[in-house]
Amino acid sequence: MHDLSPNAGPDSRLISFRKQAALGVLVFFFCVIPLLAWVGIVEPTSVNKLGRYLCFAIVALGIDLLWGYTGLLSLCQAFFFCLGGYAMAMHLSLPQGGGDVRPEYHNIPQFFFFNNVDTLPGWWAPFASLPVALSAAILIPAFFATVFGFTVFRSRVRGVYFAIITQAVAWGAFLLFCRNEMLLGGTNGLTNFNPSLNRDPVLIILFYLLTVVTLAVLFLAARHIARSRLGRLLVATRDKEMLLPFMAYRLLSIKLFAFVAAAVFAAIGGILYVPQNGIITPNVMRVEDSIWMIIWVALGGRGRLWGALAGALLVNYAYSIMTSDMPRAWPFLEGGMFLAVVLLFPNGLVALWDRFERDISGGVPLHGLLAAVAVCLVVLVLDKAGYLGWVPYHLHYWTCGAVMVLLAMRSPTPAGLVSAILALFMLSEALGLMPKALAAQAFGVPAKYYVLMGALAGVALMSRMPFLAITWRKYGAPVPEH
Amino acid sequence: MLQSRLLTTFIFLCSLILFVAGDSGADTETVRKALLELATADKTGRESIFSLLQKEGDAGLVPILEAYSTGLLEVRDGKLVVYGPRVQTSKDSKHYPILDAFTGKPLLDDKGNPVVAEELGKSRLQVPRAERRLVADMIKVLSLQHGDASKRIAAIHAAGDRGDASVIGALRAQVESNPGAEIRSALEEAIAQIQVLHGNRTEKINAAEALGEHGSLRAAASLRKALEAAGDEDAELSAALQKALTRADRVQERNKFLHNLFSGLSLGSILVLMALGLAVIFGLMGVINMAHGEFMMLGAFTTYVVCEAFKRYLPPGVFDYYFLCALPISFLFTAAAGWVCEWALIRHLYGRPLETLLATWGLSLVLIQAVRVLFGDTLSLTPPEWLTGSWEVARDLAFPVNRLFIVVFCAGCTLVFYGVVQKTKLGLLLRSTVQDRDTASSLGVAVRRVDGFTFALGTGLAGLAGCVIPLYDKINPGMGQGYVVESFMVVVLGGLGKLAGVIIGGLGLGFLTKFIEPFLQAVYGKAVVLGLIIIFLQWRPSGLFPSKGRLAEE
Repeated sequence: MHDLSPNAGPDSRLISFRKQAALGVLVFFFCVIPLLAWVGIVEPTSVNKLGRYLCFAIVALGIDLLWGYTGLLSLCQAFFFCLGGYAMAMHLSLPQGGGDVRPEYHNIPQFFFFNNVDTLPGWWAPFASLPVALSAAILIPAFFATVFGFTVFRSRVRGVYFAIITQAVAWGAFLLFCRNEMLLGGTNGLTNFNPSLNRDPVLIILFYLLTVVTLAVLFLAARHIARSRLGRLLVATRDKEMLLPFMAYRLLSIKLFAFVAAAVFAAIGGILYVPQNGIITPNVMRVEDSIWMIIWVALGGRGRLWGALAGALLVNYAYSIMTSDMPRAWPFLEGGMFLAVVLLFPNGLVALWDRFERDISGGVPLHGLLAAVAVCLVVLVLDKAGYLGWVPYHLHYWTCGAVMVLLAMRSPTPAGLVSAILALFMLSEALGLMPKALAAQAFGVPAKYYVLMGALAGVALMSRMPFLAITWRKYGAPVPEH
Repeated sequence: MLQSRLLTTFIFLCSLILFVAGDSGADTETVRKALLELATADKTGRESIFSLLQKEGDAGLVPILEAYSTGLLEVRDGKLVVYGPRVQTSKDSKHYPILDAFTGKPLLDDKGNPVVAEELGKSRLQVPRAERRLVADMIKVLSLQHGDASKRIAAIHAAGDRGDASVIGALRAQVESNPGAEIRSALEEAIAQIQVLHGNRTEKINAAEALGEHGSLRAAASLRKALEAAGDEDAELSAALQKALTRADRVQERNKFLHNLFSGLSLGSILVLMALGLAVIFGLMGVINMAHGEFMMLGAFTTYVVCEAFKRYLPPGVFDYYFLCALPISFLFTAAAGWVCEWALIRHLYGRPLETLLATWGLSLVLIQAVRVLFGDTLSLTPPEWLTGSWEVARDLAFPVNRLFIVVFCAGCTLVFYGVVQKTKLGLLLRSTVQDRDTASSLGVAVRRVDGFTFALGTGLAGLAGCVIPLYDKINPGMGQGYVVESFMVVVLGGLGKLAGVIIGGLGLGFLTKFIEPFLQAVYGKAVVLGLIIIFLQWRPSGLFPSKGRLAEE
């Protein structure tokens, strides 16, 4: 959980590491990926996918504020996401927004024709202008969240009751949006936007950059909120709700603020998601999807904003990889993920990172680890770009693996090794850099999973074997025990 | 050889369909002889044959006469035969099977093979154009005399609905012959229906009054037709018709009300059964069981397995009782599954309600996919014979037996559950643990074991609900998710303090849904119900029966 005690400030070593890590992440997202995409090493579809997942990360930020900080589990965030998305989609499907309309369908979106509507309904007309559509996309969810939140919080609906009621709202909204009479495309949703939105490489990179900028701005905003006095009130609401009214704070306003903020974050995610995805359907606002959003934050780590971001990216990439590799096994893996998060990692990946940071403040050298990841990435990029085709027997992979082991041994921190392996795996998969040789299947499971499992098992074994630890101590500083 | 056997089977099946009522007494010598003469008789001869048929014949003749009027009747070697529907016997040959007109069985040649024809014969009997109407009328009149009471009533109703003045004589004659009360009432209604359209003025007014008294749907339809035909010319007649129509409509409205009440009751009782388990699990352990619907689904699939096992391994005579066997089996199976889940999963998560929500959600995903891998997608169950059909309470008001069974069954389960909680030692331990966990524990109650037992009991109740759902709905691995949201609503509505809250909340939600559905469509109905619940919570934040005292502040 979020540590709020004032005297537990991180030491200078940790601060400089954090700064470097943040810088690395920023450089990676703002420079490395656009550059790789520009020279054609990374496919535009991969960038598009990353852009969409970053939209989910925006939603996760809001959920973290609402659930991680304030302790309110809302199961209707997917609905707010869709409210924003639908408003944007309405603009995009009109001719003024570049929608693909045809004279034979009366020059309005096609689905109207199939619902026997000849002229554009009056309430659709304002969405022709982008500013109106954008403000509607934010104001409508905000308004709905305010009204709903006010009624619910005023009647002191709390905890589990709140989760159940919001779940019912998501369910009811899903049923409503599936109806054709709503004139929002029914179950087929809204599509037929300008096709180049998610096909033209330049537009894809532009939308990607727009998403990264928005995410960065919103992250700073959320961090500002979390660190302010208001953020402390949010945490107080989570930890000791009954105490706040005695100190003359208005619980209703605090909760309402968190709820509306989360709704707006979700709506912004939806706005950016729709042009990159090219379609929005009610299937994105089912109860399942809202719970799916919760698991991003749960896996990443509640009460830590960047944990929510990492969780959203990681879970969605895991989904994307595994559904394409093993579609039938996915529901088992998904269910297993829920169970594992709750039973084994109640604090999510943040706990792993915390362990890593403790190692760093204990003085473990990191150059080896970072160098190993960098060497691997460079080899993968070079291989993808076709410069290493002449190497026989994939020797570059073997060398790379050996170098990695050697370098990693110089900084013996198991948490760091696990983080590095996971990051490398996800990065190479996300950027389409995974070597072709690892796609070969054994027993229906691609070889890359065996490699991943083998590497993780190796780390687990190493960290448990005392004689290895003694060997390490000869090289590096001792591993601090906590 | 195989081909001809196939053909025989096929023809036999067809004939079964066509001639269910084939041999019902029409097979008397006189009728048989008269029909054979049809082929050769002249106009006067045919008229005398027709009058004989009308006098002597009964509904068994209807198929023969229908074949006659469509030109499929033929005399072959001194036997009256009918061409059956054309059958594809091989890739490019089609045959008409030849059937005996009286028995409906396929005609066999000397070697015992069925006789077939490639083309329709030239010597088929054709109804002369002038007599077509006569034959058609005869078919209508004869079908009114069907031996089977339900078919006869259907024919009488059909005659009334057509408003067919030509059969009124036959209907009157039947009333004279003093049939049973049910047939008599149908006859009177049909006569009134015809008279209100075709009778003279006094007859119309009397008929209107009779129809108003009947108040059935078809009476109202006839009245509406008559009112349209009457126009504005005769004020008194119009007024009488209008009055009768209002009366009939009122009866219909009452029926609709009762019907909604009943559907609400049956939906509500299933919700109660589901929500009881949810409420007791939440009330005791603070666990939100998102997998509750999946335990219900497990119950449904257990019932399916029991049904299939009975079909495969036991004599067909006992098949009808499989359901009685499935009830305890699905209860025990789901309770055992619930107990295992509690042991393996839930007990590690006490005091973290929001995380149990995620964990049980994960569990539900795993269960759904496991069942999908094992059984595939949508399946349907053969309901036992004694749970099909419906119980007609009044005219136009029938309650399906399966729904009645569900209501009674759920009421019984609720009572037993209530009894267990209130009257037994186990129930005492359970209540003590709900009221104050720590004190109960310090007084020697094995709270952990009570938890396991309660979880098993709750999931077992869901399994019982799942057992009765296949009686009226298809089953599929995802079926639980539709019910679980509504069950949660019941729990929220009722509050967690008392079981009475769950019962009232469940029935209330069932009634509310069913009464709103006719005005709005099902989807809007659900949305409105949801809105109403949120408004209701403004007034009663912790449900109908909130817990009081120390419990309330947890």
